[in-house]
Parts: sequence; structure tokens; C-alpha cells
Amino acid sequence: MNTSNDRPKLGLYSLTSCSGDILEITNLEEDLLRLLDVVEVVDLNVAMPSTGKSPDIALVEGAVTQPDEARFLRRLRKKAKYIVSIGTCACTGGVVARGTKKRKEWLREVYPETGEGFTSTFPRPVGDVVPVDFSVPGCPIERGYLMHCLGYLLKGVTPEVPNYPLCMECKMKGNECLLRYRGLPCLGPVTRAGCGARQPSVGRPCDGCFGPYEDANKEALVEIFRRMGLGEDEIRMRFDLFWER
Amino acid sequence: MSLVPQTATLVEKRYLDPQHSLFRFVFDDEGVRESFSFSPGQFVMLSIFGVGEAPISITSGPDEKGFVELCVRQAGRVTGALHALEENATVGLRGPYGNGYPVDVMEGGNLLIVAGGLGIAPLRSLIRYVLYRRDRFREVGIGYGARNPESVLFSGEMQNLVARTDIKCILSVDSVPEACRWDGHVGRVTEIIDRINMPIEGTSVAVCGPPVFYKFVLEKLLSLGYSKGSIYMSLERRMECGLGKCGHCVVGHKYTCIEGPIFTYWDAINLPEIF
Amino acid sequence: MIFRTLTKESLPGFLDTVSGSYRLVVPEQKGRDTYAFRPYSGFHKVAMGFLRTVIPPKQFFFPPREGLFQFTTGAGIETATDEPPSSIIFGLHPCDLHGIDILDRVFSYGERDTFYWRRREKTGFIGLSCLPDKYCLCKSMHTDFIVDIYDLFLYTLDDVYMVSVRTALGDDLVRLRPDLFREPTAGEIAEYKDRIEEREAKFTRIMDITNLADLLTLEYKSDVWERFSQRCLFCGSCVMVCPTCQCFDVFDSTDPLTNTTVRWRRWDACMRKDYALVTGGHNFRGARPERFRFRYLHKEIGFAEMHGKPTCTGCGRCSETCPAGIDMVEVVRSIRE
Repeated sequence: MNTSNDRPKLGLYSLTSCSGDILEITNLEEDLLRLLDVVEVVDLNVAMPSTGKSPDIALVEGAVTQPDEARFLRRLRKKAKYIVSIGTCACTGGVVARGTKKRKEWLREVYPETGEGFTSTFPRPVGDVVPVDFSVPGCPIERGYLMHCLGYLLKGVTPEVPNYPLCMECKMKGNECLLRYRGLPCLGPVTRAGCGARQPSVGRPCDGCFGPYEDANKEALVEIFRRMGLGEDEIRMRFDLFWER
Repeated sequence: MSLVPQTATLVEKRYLDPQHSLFRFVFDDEGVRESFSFSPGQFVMLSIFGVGEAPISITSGPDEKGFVELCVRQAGRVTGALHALEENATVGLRGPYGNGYPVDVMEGGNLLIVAGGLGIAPLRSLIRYVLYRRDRFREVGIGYGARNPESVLFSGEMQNLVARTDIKCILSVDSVPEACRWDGHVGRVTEIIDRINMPIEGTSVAVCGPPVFYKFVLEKLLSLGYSKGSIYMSLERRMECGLGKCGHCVVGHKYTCIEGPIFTYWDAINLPEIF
Repeated sequence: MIFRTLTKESLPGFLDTVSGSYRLVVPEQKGRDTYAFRPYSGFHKVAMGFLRTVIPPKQFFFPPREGLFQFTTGAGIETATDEPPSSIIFGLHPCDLHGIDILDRVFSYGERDTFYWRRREKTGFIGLSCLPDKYCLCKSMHTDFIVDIYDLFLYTLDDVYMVSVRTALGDDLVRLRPDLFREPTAGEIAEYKDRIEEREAKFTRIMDITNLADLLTLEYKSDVWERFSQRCLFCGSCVMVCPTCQCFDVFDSTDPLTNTTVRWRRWDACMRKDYALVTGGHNFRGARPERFRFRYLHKEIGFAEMHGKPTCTGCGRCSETCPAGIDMVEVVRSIRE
């Protein structure tokens, strides 16, 4: 194993999340060992104490829900060359940020005794706290997509990633359109590609975890959902999960 | 093989201004180095491996053998990475592509060249072509407009052209900051077209510059009575292949990479969505 | 061109034999209501009654994503040296054969596309007759029959296939099993003629393309484009499934573990927002109606100006696939009104 000190330094940081994205990285298996030849992991806050070295590339997963986390990010911003948000929670707030009720009402309802003393705030994406250089969305992230992005970042270049809707990726695989043939409320037409159409390829509609495609015609899709017989609440819930904050 | 570049080495990087540099490349393969030939106005696809590929006009003259020069603005992913390269770096080049200026039509007549800003990049190639065979052209006029004296690209070369007596070359800038010396024209580039005062009959006009520059220059040329068929413009479009396949550069019904990038004004206005 | 007949019971044996000498690709059922071209794995899997696959046969010569070369510091540029296998695609309907004819022209125009042709040149086609459904517009596009491109074409009769042997490769295929083929009888020829008429009668929808190129030009500023672009999802599905759409994007991907860069090309769609975006930020077709219009104009006029025919083969895939239910017939009718 390469242990030289001139390898680029990688930091892996987990904020409020299920740690599913860091898990995707540790699940790289044999590629993980090879990755360690190429980069030096200076931080992995879920598993080891900090080496104290500043990362060149900081991969941050999870939403910001604690004042500590925000302070940590501001310090990280001063040290790291690139801050990359990985996973939907870090990119847009994700599942933890969904919901329509007011946070205070929730606290009273769920923690009537202790809720008043909680320091946590409403979950925010990393980019709401510090400038982010690049986002790798997905719930969880797609390993190949992350490696593709790392290939660019290690060269000091902003990654070129698919900038088209999931439908294109899904069709490239020859999948049967779930909207058209099965009447399932798939978010493919409005969602960024990059996952390889994970869900539609196994017959499940896309939930939109990569977030909105920049030219998404949401109104047109809502109209299709209505014609399929979905109620307004159901339609809102479809978009609530990942798509809107 | 189509779409596969030849490797080339960046042998010289000449700083022009904070945004622009002139890059000189030499093909690594000796056979390619010797056989590579092009016409003024053609372009190459430049690869920075691991970053991507972009279409860039050739800036050197077709008679200068053994190397290719590209004048590039630092603007996007590929051009940004190019500017970050150091001498001796390896890049990929393929081409030349596009139709180039119709020099066979232009020869024997008068030639007026009007450039704005980075529009000088392909026109420098045409100017060098003309200088190499000056006797084949009758009157030659060159007008070059830039924002200010600092942003005149190739200013040394341009000053040499101004000094020549067999070419009427006038440089123009929009404004001159204080403490900056400037002997050329100050004002609109359309005004130097008047001052160059080329004949209308028997003159081809090659124009290249940013969209707003085209708008004023074309208006001016038409008002002077130049035929739309004698005005040649170079179109910029997104290109992924340069071979008339990828579809990105299609304007109306034409592939800019094959039927262009040089179009007469008449052909251009007959393409929908031209501007 | 010569004609032979092949009994229906003989077809499995014939395809078994062909698959012994070539990589044979056949239509199979994929989803609940959809089909795909797949490597032959026995006649019981062949969907003889299929009408259209989700992805047209272009995928075999122009894959959705294809590595063009790789670059490594030191080793330089390396291209694939593998020889594509000799292949036969079975079950192509006239529309798809017309689609291949159009792609052949595109990928030969100017400089030949070596990546397309290296596979295309080693592929033969066995056509198969079909009966139209409500999406089929081949009759309207004059692509409902074809006299070239294929090597063999099977016209389905009651008990036999009337087989048109078009090329030497087609003859090679027949000679793999000469015992299965014989001269058509007078009765079979009469049946073949009847079938032509029966098929004609089954075309229920006609798209009127008379003077369509002119009408599209005249209606360049029509509000039809705005209207449809409100419904259109700009999802690119119609482009992906089109047998003649061949736009692509080129991009690099570097494996951080090996520092090897692969240059890829990948299917692209002219409906996509930054399709015509150039460095510096100018977008030549940024607005949705412009992009929606461009696809129709390019299908019906753009290609025709260069190659003398429109690129729509009437296969019906775009109309069948569109999640928003936008139908080519409806768009063209709106332009005519």
C-alpha cells in the first residue's frame, strides 16, 4: 500500500444522516483499498479520530441540524480546497428535511417533556451553511458516479456529469416506461440522471433522489399524475420526498 | 479513426492578456506533423485528456508548417484547463474541420478583413495567408476593434501591419484609459470601415467578432452597398464531433462543422435561428 | 433478388443453424407490453408477433454509451482492437430497415464514422413482415415496404414464409440449410398478393405529409410550438427510442484508481436545454418551444435538404413511448390546421 505523504488528502465527514453515503464508499470493497493507494484519508469522523491534516477534497454527507455542525463546516471551509456534498441530505436536505408542519409543533408533539431544550435546528443542506464546490446527489450516492467525479476533482477540474433527465438514462437501458405502460407515478421525467435508472430498471417508479433536472417541466408531469387519478395530496407527497425542500 | 485525436505537445504558451494566450502545438507523430495542412478559417478539436474536447479556430497561417497555433480565451472547462497547462504538456488534436474561407474566390480581388476582439483568431490565419501571397490580391484592408489598448491581441503584429504601405490596416479601441498611449482610432469599429475606404465592387469582406459586433458591422457593410454574398462570417456553435454527426452545431438545416463555420451573410440569413 | 419459401415449422431449425455461424439477435418480450432485441437463446423466446422494440436496432451499431479510446500518461492513446462478431439481426420490420438506411447515410456523410461502421459492416438483416397498429405511420411516410438494406425478408403467409433473398449474404444464409427452402408455388404467390391487400386495409391512421416541409417553414412562428411545449416533459424519451436520432455527446471519465481516461460518446437529445449552449453562455435554442420545434423541423426538413428524404420512418415509437401522450399525428395535424 502506498503510504507516501504526497497523495491528495481526502476527508470523509458525516453530519446528521443515516451514514448511507459513507457506507457506499466503504462498500467499494477491493476498489477501496486501491483508492487508499491514490489518496490519503485524513479524516473519517464516523470511524477514526482526525489526523489533524487539512483535506484537499472534503466529502460531506448529511444535513446540518446542529449549531456544532455549522461551526464545523465553517472551519472546514477554511481548510479544504474542495467541499463536495455527497448524498441527497447534504445536497438538498433530503428525507430529514421533508415535511410541512412547523418544527416547534413537532417538538411539542414528539418530545413534550424535553423538546424545549433541544439545540437542533431545522435540517439544512451543506450549501446553505458554506459554499459547496460540487454536489454528488443520490439516496444513497451511486458509487460509479462518485468515482467519475473524483477522477475530475483529483485533476482539479469541475466534474462533467449527466445534465439530462432520468428518462434518457432509463430509455438507454430499453426499460418499459412505468408512466406510460404501468400507470405508476414515476418522477423520471423531472429528475436528474446519474443513477443508471436504479428504480425503474426493477419496475419501481423513480422517487427523485437525485433532485430536479434543471429544465424539469414539473407542471406537465403534475398534469399527467392528475390524469392518472392521483389526488393533490398524493401528488404533493411524491414531490415532497426528495424533490422539494 | 474518426473522433480519435492525435497527441501533440504544447511547445510554447504566449501570454497575450489576462484572458487570452496563444498556444503553439507540435504533433508528436512525425508523419502527422508533416502532412497536417489546413485552410484559413478551419478549426481543430482540442482535447485535454480527462477534461474534454472543444472546437478552436486555427490562428496560425497555413504556410507555417510543423506546428499549429491556437489563440484561446479562458472561458470554459476545456479552455480553463488549457490555460492551466505548462509547456511540454500533452494534448489531443484532430482536424482540420470546416470549410474555411473561400480563398480561391477571394484571390484576384480586393479583400477587407474586419475583426472584433477574439474574432482576430481565425482572421489572423487569413491575414497570414494573404501576407504570404500578397500579389494575388488587389487592395487589402484590415480593421480591428478592441475594447481598449490593453485588449488588442497580437498588438506587435498588428502595429507592423499598420506600418505597411501595401495594406491599409487601422486599429480601433472603444476607449483609452488615462496614462495609456494609443496612436490608433478611438470610437466605433464601423468608423474605421469608412476610413479604410475600400472599393465596393470586387471586394470580399471577412468578418469575425462577438454577436453585437456583427450586428453593427453587418449593418454598416450593407449600408455601404456590399453584397450579402460577398460578406463572409464565421459562426460559433456547440460541437461534439466536428464531423457532421453529433448534431449539436446544426443551424436550421446545416451542419456548422461541415458547411461552415464560414457562411456568406446571404446563406446565414437564410438559416432559421441564426443569431 | 430471388424468392424461396420456408415452412413455419422449419423456422426454428433455420434460426438454430444461423445462430451456430453468427451472433444472432432476435426480438424477445422484455416488459409486460414491450420488446427488446436480444441475443438468440432458443426459438421459444422469439416474439414472432412483436411490433416494435423499445430501443430500435441502432443500438447495435451506435450503442447508448461507447468508449472511443483511452488515454494514459506514458501509453498515450489506445483504441479497441477487438473485431466485432459477424451478426445477424432477425425480425426487422420495414420501418426499422429504413431507419438503418438513414443512419447509414448520416454515418457516411463527410468522414465515415469508423465506430458505427466497424459493427454495421459485419451485420446482416433478416426482415419480417408485420401488420400495423394505431401508432404505425409507415404508410404515411412511405416506409411500409423496402427493397434493399435487408439480406433476407420473410413475408408471413398461412403455412410458410415467402422469403426474399436480396444479397449474397442472404444466399449464404439460405445455403446453410438448403433443405428447408424451395421454389414458391403459384398458390403461395397468389396468397402473397392477397396479404398485401389485407395489410393495406389495416392502416387506420394516416398522417398527411403533403407539402409538410413547406408548411413547417411557413408555420415557423406558429403558436402550435408553444402549445405542445407546455405539455412536453422534455424528457428525451422520444429521441432515445427514435430509430434515426443519432445525436451524441462526448465526454471524458477518468478512473481515479488507474488515472486512465476514457473518452465516451453517449446518446444525446436536441430537446435538452444545454444542447446548443456554447462556452460563454449563449444558448442558440434555449426556449422550450424552439427546442420542440427544432426536432420536428430536423426530422421533416433538415435531413431531407441534405439527403432527399425525411428521417421519420413512421415506426410509432415516439408516440407510443411519450409519457405526455404527444403524438406525431396530432402535431402535424395542428400544423396543417
